[in-house]
This record gives sequence, structure tokens and C-alpha cells, in this order.
Amino acid sequence: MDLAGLRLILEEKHQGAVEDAAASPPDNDELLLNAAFLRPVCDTLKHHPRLSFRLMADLCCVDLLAWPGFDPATDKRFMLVYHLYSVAHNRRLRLKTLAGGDDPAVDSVAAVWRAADWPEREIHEMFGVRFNGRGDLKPLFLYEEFQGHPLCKDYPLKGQQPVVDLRAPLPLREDPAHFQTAFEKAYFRPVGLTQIDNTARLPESMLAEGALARLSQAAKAYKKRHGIDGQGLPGPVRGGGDHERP
Amino acid sequence: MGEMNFVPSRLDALVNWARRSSLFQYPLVTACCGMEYMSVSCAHFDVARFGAEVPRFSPRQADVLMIVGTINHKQSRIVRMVYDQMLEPKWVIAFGTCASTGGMYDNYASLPGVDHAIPVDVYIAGCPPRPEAVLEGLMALQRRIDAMTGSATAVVGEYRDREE
Repeated sequence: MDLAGLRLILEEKHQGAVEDAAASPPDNDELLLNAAFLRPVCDTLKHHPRLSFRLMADLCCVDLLAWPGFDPATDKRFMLVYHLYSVAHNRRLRLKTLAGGDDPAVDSVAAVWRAADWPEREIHEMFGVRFNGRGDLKPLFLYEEFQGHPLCKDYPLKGQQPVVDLRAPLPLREDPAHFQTAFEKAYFRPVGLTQIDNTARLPESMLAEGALARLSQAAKAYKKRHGIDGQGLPGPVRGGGDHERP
Repeated sequence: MGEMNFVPSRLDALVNWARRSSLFQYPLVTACCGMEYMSVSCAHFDVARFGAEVPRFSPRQADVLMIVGTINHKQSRIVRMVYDQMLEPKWVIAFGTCASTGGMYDNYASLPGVDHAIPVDVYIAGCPPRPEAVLEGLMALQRRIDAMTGSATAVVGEYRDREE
């Protein structure tokens, strides 16, 4: 079935669900859904005999904050992309929907495709998008103490949150006398400590008009929402009951 | 033991020799360096020639902790626990660039070198290191153990305590 047919079926059953559609030949169609219809549309996509998208290959999320085409007025900064495959009809479908606001959330489809379970947990911890209608959104990759969402564009690039008390790093040896053998003298150069800018971002030329201002504004709102004050992130998380040497 | 000072000093060499000639390793393998670890420990490069052929998967039986691969903050807890469980004397080898400095991972997740979490004796460069580099690192550790002083007095002291 082609995109037009697919669209027809969906619009018959779910009036107003499909906001946009695009075909990308040979077999990878694309739909932009109204988020309110996500769950029922996914049910239809899986169970309708002429569609039967039984396989959910992947589910990912994009933070559009720094994207030139992002419209701050809509405040829908997260795009969720569902990659579906119909084994019966050998068709692929890319399903997109948007989430945003202070508490970004969409309906969970883990009950439709069990394969969505772990990706939803991952997206929740990495982007802070909530999924309604499912239990257990506990972190998949991150640890419980981690604050904030590291794949958001407004998360500091190197915002590390250590869980053990870190030892002081060894000083780099800048003295060329440190190199002893002929091999070392020939192949190694003394290394100086360089100050790395934690706030480095995309060059301004790559961003849309006003994107930088939007980023810093968003970063402020983000820090406020998660109780992060000042420049840095919270220090080592202590009192986890481990590694306190006597 | 006052009149027998020369005995411990000679014993140092003996104890050091014994220690460096049977290094039981605990391979903490987290990433692709594990492939090189396999080739080092198997017949082609044969780490047994240096007396370090026995991997012990209990930290309580191991002498050398080999950190083979990237360590991230979530894992640093585990690394510390393994290190704390090992008995003295113990040594640590950072196997490869990631374990030594964090390598190309410079982000929210990774530890910039495992020496931020535990003390390291030998750093082996390479991404991943050649097996020869690993053997060189192992020999560097052995030289380090050879240079240790007071090994014998620790051992003799234990015996004396036990007799009393």
C-alpha cells in the first residue's frame, strides 16, 4: 500500500491525526502525527490487516532546540521518531510526533510494541520526555543519582556527576627532561595543560537567528527546573554507602 | 632480629622475585581492549612467559587489577569496590588509552582516566595497545615490584606476630 492509501485508512479511523505526510522512495514513508492520537494510531498501524506494522525497529528522540527550523513559539522542542516495519507488506514507516512544554510527555506505546519499552526508558533519562500509561521509567543507562538530562542541547557538554570521591588527577609532566629514551625524545612532545571551555557549543554561523539567546534562556529555565544553581553541576554524590575508607 | 638485619634485606629480593613471578591478574574488561587482552593472554603472545597467566575472577585472589577499557562514572563505583576487595600488596594496570586518560570520551559519562578513582601503577598507551606494549607494561610493573623495599620485613613481621 502506498502513502496515500495509508493516509486514507488513518484519516478514516482517526480524524485529524495525521498532520503531515511525505514519501521517501522506495519504501520509507513518513508521517507527522498529532501527539494526542499517537496511541490509537499505533494500534491501528499494528493491527490493521492492510498495514500490519508488527515490528518496531527503533524509537529515538531529537532535541530541536538548536535546529535552525525550530519555532520557539510552538515550544515543541522534542521530536520522537518511531521506525516501523511491516513484514507482511515489506514497507517501512517513519512516524514522527512532537512533545514540549514544561513537562514534555507523550503516550507510551510499550503496550503496542514491547520493543518500545527500553527506548522509552532511555529517552526519559536522556531527554526528560515522560511516557504516559506505563509503569517503571527508571533509568536504563544512567545511575539513580544523576540529575538532569544529558542529551538535551542545554545540558553542559561535560557536565560530569561523579559518584565516588575522585582522586586529584596527576599533574602532566611538561619538562622535556622527563623523556629519557631516544624513542621518547623523537616521538613525544611535552604536553601543556589546556583549559577546555565547558560551554563550547556549535559555531554561531551554524545556528538560526537568535538561537544562542534561546539556548541560554532555555539553559536557565532548565537549571531552575532541576534545582541546579551556578555554573557547575552538583558535586560528587556522597553518602551512597560505599567506599568510605576507614 | 637486630643482629640479623642482612637477612631481611636479602629476603626482600626473594619475596619480590616471588611476587613478580606469579602475578595473578583480575581482568576488568569493559571495552574493545578486551580483544587485545585475549591475544596477550592466549598462546600467540603468551603472558605465561612472565608468570602472569592466571586470571582470577575473584579480587580476593588477585594481585594485579587490569582495567581493560573505558570506565564511566556509573562503573567507577564497581571499580572502587573491586579494588578495595583486593588484598595488599596490589597493583593496577591501566590497559589502553581510555583507562589511562579517558581517551576520546570527554563527556558527561566517562571517567577521564581510571586514576581518578583508584591509584594506577602502570599506564599502557594505545587504542588498543599492541600485545607487545602490554607485555612491556607488565615488565615495567615487574621492575617496579623488584624495586620494592620492606617486602620481607612485612612477611617476617607477620610470622613474629603469629608466634607471640
